[in-house]
Amino acid sequence: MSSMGLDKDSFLELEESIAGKPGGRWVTPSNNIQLSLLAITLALACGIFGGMWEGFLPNGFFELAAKAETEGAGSMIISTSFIDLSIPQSQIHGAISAAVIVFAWWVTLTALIKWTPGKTRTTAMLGIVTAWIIVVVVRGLSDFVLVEADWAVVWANRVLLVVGQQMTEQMTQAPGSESCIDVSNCYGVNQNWRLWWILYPTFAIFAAAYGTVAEKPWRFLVPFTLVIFVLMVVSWVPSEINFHSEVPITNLTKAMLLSYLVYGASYYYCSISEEYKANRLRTYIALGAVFTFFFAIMIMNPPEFVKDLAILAGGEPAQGMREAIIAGDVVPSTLDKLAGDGIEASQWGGLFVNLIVATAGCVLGFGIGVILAFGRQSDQPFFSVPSVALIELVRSGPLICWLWFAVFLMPDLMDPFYNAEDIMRMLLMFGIFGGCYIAEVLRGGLQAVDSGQKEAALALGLSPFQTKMTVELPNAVRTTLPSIVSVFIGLWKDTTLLFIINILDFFKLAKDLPATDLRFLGNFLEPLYVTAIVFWVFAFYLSRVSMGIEKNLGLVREGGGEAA
Amino acid sequence: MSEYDRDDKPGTDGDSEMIIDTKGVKVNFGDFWALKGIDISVKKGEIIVILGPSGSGKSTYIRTLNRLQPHSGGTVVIDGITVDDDTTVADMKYVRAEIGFVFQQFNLFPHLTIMENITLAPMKVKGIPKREAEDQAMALLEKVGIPEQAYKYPSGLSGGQQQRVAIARALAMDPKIMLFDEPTSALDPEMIKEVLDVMIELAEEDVTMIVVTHEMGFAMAVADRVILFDEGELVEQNTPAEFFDNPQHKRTKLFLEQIL
Repeated sequence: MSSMGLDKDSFLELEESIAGKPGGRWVTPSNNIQLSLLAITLALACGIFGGMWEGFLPNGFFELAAKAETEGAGSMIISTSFIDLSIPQSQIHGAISAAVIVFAWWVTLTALIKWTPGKTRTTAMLGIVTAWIIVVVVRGLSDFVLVEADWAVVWANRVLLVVGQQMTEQMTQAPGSESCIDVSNCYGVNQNWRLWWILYPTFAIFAAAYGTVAEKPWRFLVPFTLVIFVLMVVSWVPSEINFHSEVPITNLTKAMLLSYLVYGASYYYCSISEEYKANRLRTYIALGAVFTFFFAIMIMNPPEFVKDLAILAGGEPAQGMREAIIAGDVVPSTLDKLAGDGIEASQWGGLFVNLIVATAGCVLGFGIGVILAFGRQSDQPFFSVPSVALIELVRSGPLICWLWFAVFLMPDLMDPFYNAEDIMRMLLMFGIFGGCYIAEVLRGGLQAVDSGQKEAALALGLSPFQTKMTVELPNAVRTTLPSIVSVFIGLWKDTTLLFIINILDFFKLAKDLPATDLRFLGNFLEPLYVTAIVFWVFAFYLSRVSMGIEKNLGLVREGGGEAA
Repeated sequence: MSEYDRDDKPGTDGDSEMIIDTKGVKVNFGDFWALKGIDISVKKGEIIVILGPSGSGKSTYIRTLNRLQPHSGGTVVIDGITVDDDTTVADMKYVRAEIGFVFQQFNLFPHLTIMENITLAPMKVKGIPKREAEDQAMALLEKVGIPEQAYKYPSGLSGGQQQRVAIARALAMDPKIMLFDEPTSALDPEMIKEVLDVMIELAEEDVTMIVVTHEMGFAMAVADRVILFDEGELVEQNTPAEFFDNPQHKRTKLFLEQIL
């Protein structure tokens, strides 16, 4: 028993740490545990049947559940080919609320029965007040989540929120779907394969990076599998008759298996290799991540030369065969699809947009940041003046203004060279904006690089440029990596500002969801809460990564982890 | 063959025996004159030990030789090349590659392995292929006695080992001149010997050395000439035997009394 921490002594210890030390003269070591049991029994009674003394005690389980029932709480329906479950949410709400109420009663009654305020007044008071605050918060949240809110608005549109309008439609209106009857209401070419091509390398990069972290494999494998599972649940839409749920499920399974393989290989390689080889692998993974970003943009909306290459290799633009495809005469090969047009950036949507814009902020921002940081330090006014001007200008303005700048002024500036779509300009703007912040972080890191390092490099005959790239920059990046990640977190949350220029990102889609269907009219809060949670999850994950890096820098000695 | 290996490189046709020739070298930090005019000439293969109290300008002097510290007056000529603001980039690169510099604080690059520390400059500056540079680095590590540490990071090595790596790193550029700036001052006493042994071994080869140190034993054993600096001026220079047994200047006597 003692190993499980459930024996008498450790229970009393827990009780004392929450409710305080017994102060009543009637409490003796022999009856101490009996009094605890009495408190627990009474607490259970109050928690379950509390409302019997209506108005005097808070409601218990039955009253809460009954009240929720009258307020029209729905049911959680789990329906698959194997099981058919329907759990009334009123009961869940009652159970969750009752649990915290029992806890609060337990603290209160223990304190009263054993008169702990007589001995440790502060602990007893804090314990009681905190317990009841927890009751108010948890009961309120549970009431909103399980009784008041109608999550159907989010649940029904989950695929839309992730990949946006056009890609969702292509899932249902591609050849083979029942809704694909004739040329006018059929997409002909399903472009969603482009998403999967991005997903595979992204997952592989993640897995490889985690493989280089010397941690127990389950610390990666369990959460990773859970994430995949959540993605599968989200992408499994049995209610939509034309939605080919098996496509995302198989692709996710493939991506998962690929990730396991890559993780295993990377983990094995790092466990048998010396530290410097693991570090080299990390560098390659970081380069791979950068490559994946450019690959993603290329594959989503390939520039002409990529299409030309595919045609040269024997592909025939798939769009040209549209009618034959819809008629079912032709199945386009991968080369044909590659040779065809991509998905225009204006058609991207949902979480995908946030992710790709935030990644642009990181990747382009890091590159721009390095250039600006060195530019700012340069002795040459030709470099330093524009760098300082750009950094100070961009950092002094709010991001929203720069986004408007990117919409209205950037096209004029770039006109003769590059006629970019809105989202492309946003990628660029986020890169510049992030770059200016990263430049300042890096500048601090560069100034902190020991002057002896620079001297040693110069004394060896390296040029000032070589010294900067091979000695100063790696040193500066290593020490500032946690701060750089917090810039990334900021950029990630800032991507929601894209809604202001009518880009259909996750936030914009979520905000507009209630207006899409009469069923959802008025349910405008639920999508926003979901948005908040999704963004919180990503930001929280990044901040954990940042903490991991910090730990690595300290523990793995000098020359520790660079990526991951 | 890179432009680095040009045949007409300065110094090869010079008849001057002096590989280092400095005249009236002055350095100031604001109003403070760290060097007040130093004349030292060094022959090829000569080994010079510079002594002096802290702040006497001895480190500043050797740092002027490869222009880690620009001088504000006088001339510095290394292997026939005048080192000053007008020195071309190519000549400066040549001079720095000719001079190996060992620092008090080692200054190894913490993000690179020992092997990468040593091969970095030969590959980047001389353009030597990686394989060749690594073979050479391995030979140098064997010379300084730590080939087994090649793939570790500097932080995994003791101070003495790090300083030996720093010496190997400087030697990897195949320099004609080695400058040592208090190479043993940051080391624990038990590690000083292993570094001095490497330096003594080096002294037997055909390398010109200038060593700033407080190790009197080293000065007596290997130096061709011992020089005393004080307050930015050259007080006395002589052979070790004369310097230690028969000092000419009052300041030298005082200095020797304090440390011996």
